[in-house]
Parts: sequence; C-alpha cells; structure tokens
Amino acid sequence: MSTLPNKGEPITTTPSSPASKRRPILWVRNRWVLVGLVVAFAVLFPWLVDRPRFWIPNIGIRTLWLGTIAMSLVFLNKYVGLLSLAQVTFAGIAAYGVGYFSVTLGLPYLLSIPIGILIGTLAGFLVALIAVRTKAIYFLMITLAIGQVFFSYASQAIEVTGARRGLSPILREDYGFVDFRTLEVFYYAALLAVVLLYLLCHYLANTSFGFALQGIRDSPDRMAALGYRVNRYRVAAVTFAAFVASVGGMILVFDRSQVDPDVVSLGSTLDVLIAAVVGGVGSLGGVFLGAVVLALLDNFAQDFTERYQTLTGVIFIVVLLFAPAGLAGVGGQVTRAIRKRRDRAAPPPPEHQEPQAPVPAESAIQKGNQQ
Amino acid sequence: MDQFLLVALNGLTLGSIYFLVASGLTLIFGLMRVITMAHGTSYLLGGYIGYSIARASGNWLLGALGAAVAVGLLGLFIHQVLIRRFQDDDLRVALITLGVSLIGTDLMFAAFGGTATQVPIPAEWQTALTLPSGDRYPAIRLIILVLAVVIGVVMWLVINRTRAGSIVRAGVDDSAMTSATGVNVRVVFAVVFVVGSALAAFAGVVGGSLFPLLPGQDGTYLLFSLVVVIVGGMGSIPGAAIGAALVGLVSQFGLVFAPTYATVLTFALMVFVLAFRPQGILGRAV
Amino acid sequence: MKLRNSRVITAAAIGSVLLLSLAACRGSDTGSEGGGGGEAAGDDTITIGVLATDTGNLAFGMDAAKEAINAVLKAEGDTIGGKKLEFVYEGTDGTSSSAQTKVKKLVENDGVDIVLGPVSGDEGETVTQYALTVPDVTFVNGSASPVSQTLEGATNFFRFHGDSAMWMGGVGDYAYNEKGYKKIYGVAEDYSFPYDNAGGFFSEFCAAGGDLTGFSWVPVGTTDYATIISQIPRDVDAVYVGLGGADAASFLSQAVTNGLTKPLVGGSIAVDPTALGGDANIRDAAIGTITGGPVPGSGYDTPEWNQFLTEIPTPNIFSLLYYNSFKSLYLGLKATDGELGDGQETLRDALKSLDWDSPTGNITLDKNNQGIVDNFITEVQANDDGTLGTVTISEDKGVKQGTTVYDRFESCPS
Repeated sequence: MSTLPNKGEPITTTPSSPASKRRPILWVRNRWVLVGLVVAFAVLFPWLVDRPRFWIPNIGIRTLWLGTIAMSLVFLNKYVGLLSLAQVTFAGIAAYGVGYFSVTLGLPYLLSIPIGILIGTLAGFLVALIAVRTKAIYFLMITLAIGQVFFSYASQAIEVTGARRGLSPILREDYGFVDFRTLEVFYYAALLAVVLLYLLCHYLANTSFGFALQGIRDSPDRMAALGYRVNRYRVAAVTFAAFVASVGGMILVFDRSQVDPDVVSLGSTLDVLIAAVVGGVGSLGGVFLGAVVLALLDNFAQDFTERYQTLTGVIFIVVLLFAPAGLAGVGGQVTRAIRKRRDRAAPPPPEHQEPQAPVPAESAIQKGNQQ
Repeated sequence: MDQFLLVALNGLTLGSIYFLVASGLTLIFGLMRVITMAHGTSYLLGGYIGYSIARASGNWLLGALGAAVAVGLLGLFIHQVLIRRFQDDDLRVALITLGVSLIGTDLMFAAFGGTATQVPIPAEWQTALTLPSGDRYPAIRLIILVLAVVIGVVMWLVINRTRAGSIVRAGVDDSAMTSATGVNVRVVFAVVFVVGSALAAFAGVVGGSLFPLLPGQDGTYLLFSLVVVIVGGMGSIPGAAIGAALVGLVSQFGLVFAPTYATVLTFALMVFVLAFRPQGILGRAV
Repeated sequence: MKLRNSRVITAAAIGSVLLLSLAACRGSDTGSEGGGGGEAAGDDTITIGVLATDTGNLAFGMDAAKEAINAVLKAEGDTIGGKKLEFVYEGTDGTSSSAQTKVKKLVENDGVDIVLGPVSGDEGETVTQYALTVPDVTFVNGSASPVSQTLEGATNFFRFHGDSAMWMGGVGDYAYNEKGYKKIYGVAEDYSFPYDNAGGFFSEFCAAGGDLTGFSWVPVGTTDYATIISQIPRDVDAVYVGLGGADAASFLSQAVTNGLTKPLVGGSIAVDPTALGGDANIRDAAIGTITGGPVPGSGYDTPEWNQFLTEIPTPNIFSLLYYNSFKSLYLGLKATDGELGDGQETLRDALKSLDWDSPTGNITLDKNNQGIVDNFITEVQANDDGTLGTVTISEDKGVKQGTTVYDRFESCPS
C-alpha cells in the first residue's frame, strides 16, 4: 500500500482492485440494502434504549456530529488523497458563527445557521488556498497547525468568541410546526441531515467532478496535461468537505447548547481522527461506526479502566497496523481470508493466478501524488 | 538595557529550546521523509527522565545524558517495531506515531502525575550575569543559547564535513541509489531516528530546567516543532535554526505588543510564510 | 465496488450487535439502581452523583472529593432517616464538554437525585446551564468558583463556598493598610477565573485608595515570563500575580532568576502547596507573598478546624471545599430526615435555612443560594525545617457575594 497501487488503472474509475472482480459472498451484494438497514436502526434507536434522555444526546446525537465531521475527513482522504486535521476547526468556526450572530448580535437562528455554515465553508476555502499547493504530509501538518491557530484565537478573542467562557446559551427553538426542543425531533432532524450529506458525498464522488478528483489524486501530472486545473479541483474539494463539517458543527452546537474553545481543541481534532481511522478511512459510512465506538468509550470506558486514553491509543495503533481500512474494512479482510482458504481447497480459477496486488481499499489511507 | 535588545535576547533563548526540539524532527524528516508525531512525547518523557535522574543523583549532566540514552533506545524500539515496515507510507507513519503519543500522554500522566516539576539545576547556573551593557541577565538562559549554537554547529559540521554525514546526505537525495553503493540505508535510518529522538529528550531536559514540565507539553512542543520546521523548511538544519529564532522572537515580541494574541501570532507567522513560500524559508521546492 | 459492500455490511452488523448488546447491558445495570432524576423520592435510597476531575491538570480533584465525602460519612454514617446514601462517581478532564457529557450521564442514565460537583470553573458554568434544564434535580457545587454561577437564577443550584472574587475578600484592604502598598502592577492569565479573582482584589484595593498602574494579561500556558517581568514598571510597590499551577511556578522561578525584587500579592491559586512544594527555586520570590482564599494557613486554630484536620490531615483546596459542600448537603438531608419532598422542595428549603459552623467558619446562604463565608488572608513564610508554608495573618468574616462578573481590565475596576 506504500505507493499508489492503482496508478496504472484508467483514471476514471473508483479505486477498485483485482480482488473486487471476484464474486462477493452472497449476503453482501447490495450496498443500499445495508445503508437502509443502518438508517432503519438509527431511526428505531430512540425506541430501543431504556433511557432515551441519556442515549439520544450522549450516544446518538454525538455519534451523528462526530461521524459527520469524520466523514468530511474521509471524503477528502478517499477521493482527493488529502488528510486534513482541520475538519473539526471548520465545524467549530461554523458553530462560532451561530454563536456570534445569535448570542452576540441577536439574529434569529434561522438566519444564523446558514450564515454559520457559510462562514465554516469559507474558512475551508481560505485554508485550501494556502494548503493545497503542498505535499500530502505537509497538508496534514499545516491543517493541524492551522487548527491550533484558531484554537488559540478562540481562547483569547473575548469580543468575538467569548474566550474561554465561550458563547452561550444556544438553545433549540419551537417553530410551531416543528418543536426542536424535543430531543427526538432534534435527533431525527440531525439524522435526516446526515443521511442527506452521506448521499451528497456519494453522489458527488460519482459525478465527473468526483472522477476528476480521483484522477488528480492518482496522477496529478497526467490530469494537468489533460488540461485540468488541478489545484482548483483540490480547493473545491476541500471547500466542499468544509461545508460537510460545518453542517456537523450545527448539530454539535445545538447539542452542546454552547460553543467554547474546547470544541476546536487538539483533543477534539484527535477524536475526529480516531473516529475516522477506527471506523475506516476508506469508507464514508464506516466512520459512524468509529464515532459510535468513541461515544461509547467516552461514556463507559471509565467504568472498567482508568487508562482509557491508553486503551484508545492501543486500539488506534492496532487498527493502523492490522486493519488499516478500519472496522468497516474488517468484514472485507475476513471475507478475503475465508476466500483464501476456499481457494486453497479448490483449484483456483485462472484469474487468481495473477500476482496478488495490494488491495487499495485495504490501504485506505490514500495518499495524493502531488508535485 | 534597551528594552528591545532584552526582548530579542529572550526570544533567541526561547528559540534555542525550540531549535533543539525541532532539529531532531527536521533531521528525521530530511532523511526518512516521515514525520514523527511522537516527537513531543520524546521531549516530555526526556524531561521527566532527566528530572528523575538529576534529582536522584544531584547531577544535571547525568540526567541529560540518561534522558537522551533512554529515549533514544525507546526511539529505536518504535522505529524497528512500528515504523520500519511503513517507511514509504508517510501518512501511516504520522498516524501510528500519533497513536504512540496518545498512549505516551496517558502513561506519563499515570507515572508522573499532573502537577508541575522542574529539573533541578546547579546553583551556580541560577545566578544573573552582567552583560557588556551593564545589565544583569539570567545565566541559565545564556547557557542554553550557547548550548543550542554549539549543538547546531556540530550537527551541521557532521552532516556537511564527515563521511557519515555524506552518507546521510546521499540517503536524503536518493536512498535507493545510496543503498546500491553498498551503504546499509536501513541502519542509517535507524541511527538518524535514534539521534532525533535523543535530541528531543535532551531538549526536554534543557527546557525542563528553565520551565516546568507538565502534561500537555508534549502536544505544545510537537506543535511548536512542526511550526518551526514548516517555517524554516523541512529537512534543513539551518532552516530549523532560522525558524526557531523567528518563532521565539515573534512570541516574545508578541507578549510585549499584543499579549492577548501572542500565541496566535506565532502560528500566524507560519501561515504567512506558507502563503508566500510553501516550502519554507530554506526548504527545497515541493 | 462490491468488495466494499461486504466490508460495510459486516461492519454495520458488528456495530448494531455491539450497540444493542451494550444498550441491553446498560439497561439491566441501571434498571436495578432505580429512580430517575426526581422520581426516586420514596425509595429507600438517596443517590448522589459526584462529578470531579480525574484526568488532566486537576486530576487529583477526584481523590480529594472522595476523601472529603468519606470523612463525612465516617463521622456521621451513611444512612439518614432510614435511607441509605448511594454514590455514583463520574470523572471528567476539567473541560466543559466532558462535564456536559458526564453530568447528563449522571442525571439521565444513573438517575441520581442530587449532583455534587464540579471542580473547575469551565465545568461550573456549563453545569449551571444544565441545572436550569432539569429543575427536579438538586445541584450542590463542588469547588467551581465563577461569580456568574449563582447569578443565573437556577433555584436548584447551591454553592456553600465563596466565588473567585470573594476569595480575595479582605486582601485588598490588608495590602493597602497593613502592607502599605499604594501602586500595584498586575500579571494574570487571560480567562474568567483570574478576571473574577483579580476583580475581587482590585475593587477592594482601589476602594481603599490604592492604584492599579497596568496589567499584563497573558495567555494560559505561557511559560516564558522573562519578557513580562522586564515590563514591570520600576516605581510600583508590589506585583499582583494572578497565575495558577505551572504558570505560577514558572513565574516565581523566573522572578528569582530575572532578579525581580518587588513584593508579590498572589491570586488565590498562585502560591498553593503544589507550587510551594515543587522543585523549582522560588524561595526568594515566594516568601512574603500575601494571598487570599478559602483555605487557612497554619496558625488558624478553631475547634472545628482542628477536628477537621484529624479527619483529613493534609487538606487541599478541593478536599476542603468538597467537604464543606457535602457536609452542608448532609446536614440539609439530616434536617429533613432524608425527605426530599415534592420537586425536592423540602430539601431545598432545609438547605436555604442552613446555618452551621464549618471547619473554616460559619456558613449561611444568601437569596441566590450562594454561601456567605469567612475568607482567609495568608502569607508565605519559611517553616522551621526550611520548607515553605502559608500562615494565616488575617480573616475576613461573613464575606458576601458581589454582583459584578469581571472582565479584562487595565486600570482600577469601577
């Protein structure tokens, strides 16, 4: 997985692999059945738990915003080959936008929410202008550092961000036809937004824009030679990811009913990264699994261990070493392992004799090939 | 003394510590093209180990050397077990070492607690010297400045004037070609990683003598070393020196002119450099 | 493309099973504990959720809280009016988001009747906001000290110790009248606790006739104070140091190496035992520093305090404040014989009319459920064995809360 396994493939395909030509195990054929099942579970979730007033905010809604922000990270990594550590910053900037325009200036939320999303997206655009010219590893460091710029700014700028005290209260409202003060209504509205965002990410990846992005990820020189404005595509993608993160920030800010520097701290950055890596950096939906795991650990881990952070770190490293596609990739790995045994039992069909190329989906951490 | 000169001197002495930490990072990146996110962990762990040894033995130098050796060995372990296999996958290395730093933060907290400690220094260092201008200035800060200059010059000489250095430089330029000439690049990589980690640990002892050591500084110093190498240019020792001096100066002058935004200004310096010179001041084009 | 399906499906299956089993497991766990917020009246237990820091820089908060609670229970017993007191402890890292997660868990999942905590100011503000949304649960503050907490109007929120401004009660007068400081320069961390803390000091100091000549508000986590120290004007009588923890230790040790000779006035957390007992050489700077706070130094000698020292021999600020807070709650419960009443009104009325002699003096509440307490003015001195310690030099009795929530200021606050 070191370099770019699918370099030689036609640039207009998604990163598929020799292995994907095989017949999948029967029950795993339809992605959309699966998405439907997950969504159905999410819809039923408030009715499945014994204490909804705890489970809905602490696990459900937290998973939704953490997962959304992590999904924006995965989108960038999967389709553009950039690993951004500033996604939570964009979400936080959007959240501060709502706080500033509603708490400080007194605008109604119906106005400040779109303004907040706009500001978060704009922040993504500006960061992209600075950062996309650099190499992948630089991009990681620069976004990390830029995230910290905003954290120190947010901690100090009392007139704008309320410094350490933050901006509060940011309360959900009753709009007559829909009462967002009710936890369930808020949860379902957030869920709807997340599903729409997921579909949007997915749709975008399969448009010509999405294919161009993947082409640029794999071979920017060739794309440039073909007349693509490579950096403009990257800027557009980072901006879009910032938009996704900003919507996540909206869920976050109304969940927490306040915004303070904690939202954009290094710890929050790491939370998002952990959710993405543990869930699977190669899977848009898998991150929600990572987010659930993190939310559960956050709430319950201290019941059985004091060294909860060590546990998280170990899980993180183990996933990177042995299941780089995250928990969402474990299924694929198991499937392949089973098939391998089957193959060994029966004489392999001819196509299996080609050398076992590294499977790109398993490498998951996509590396842009930038010059 | 002139206020301006005094603040500049403060900035340079603070920059000395940043240089000691960041030089290890830039050395590792320069040769191996990987970023270790556990660099701040090496700094803080080094500080703690130096503190424990210096306190038990009463000898500062012993603490500094012990910390460098211990963290160097740990670096060897991390390199062999976690990094070597993924040498070419820089993002994965960055993430794995980030995981190491997560664990390190927690375990150091368990071992050394949450309160601040400071490496004990010899009493004669804790005096003020009289500068040529007639003003008095803390001796320890000048010692640290001299130390950083000496180490920087030695590193530069080793890399540019010795055979070992020429191997390292060749490895930087083209590791495949270098190994084809019979040099065991893997050993060179391991040695550089160990030296880089040991330097961070040494910096931890130096920094821990001037400022307190406490949880969270692993993250802080990782960030500052990232900023320093981004500003100065990845992989360049003189670049790290320039970057460290700039960051130190900006943060001290920031405290004078805009204390509220002193930290923000430090990072803003990085954004400013990136906007005009993405590869850093002395970096090669990327 | 198809391969990815298998991964996602398996993952989702694993996830669902995980989630469901955990949900079921938690369900059976908590089901037996009984009672949600406010529903438990009539049961034969009273559940108290304790919120304290167990990671981060204030990690010793949890141990201090447990030590304090156990000391009270050991002396008084854990049953009131036939009802057993049960405790659920939740650790936080001192940040608002962590407090928010954990306080919701205590109230909604563990179904506690009463919340005791939290430790830090950031947590305190968010917990008070949360208290407004769950009127059926009673909140007793642990050691968080923002002025604003008891001004929010939450009738279910009680604080039995002073706020950060009250912690400097009496120090301003003492500095001006006894020490004779006329002009002071300030150095403090740039966030709400030092604002309130410094506000408490300078409002009194300036009212007495003193002058604040300037202020350096530095970002939290500033370690290099050389430049700040060089900024201090030569003509001031003293320097106010509103720093805490490691930043304070940094400042003090650099005050020594940089030859700062002005006497210091410490904020309430500037010269706490951790700074004084550390390894840094801060001796020359620290000795003679006066400060104020809820913890008396040596030389304080009352029967209640001496009794307290037999229960908790080496108290810190958290164990003392959690002790006073929990003991107040305990006495309130005792007054109602364990009866919480409808909407916990019975308990709240008892807490409001509480009047008792704590280890640090008499405690009563004002109309905002904020304690009226004694405050201590202490000075750092060298002990006989060469270590540093604080000595009580004065007391300010019956300190009441002001109504100002302070902000950054550069000259005397109005």
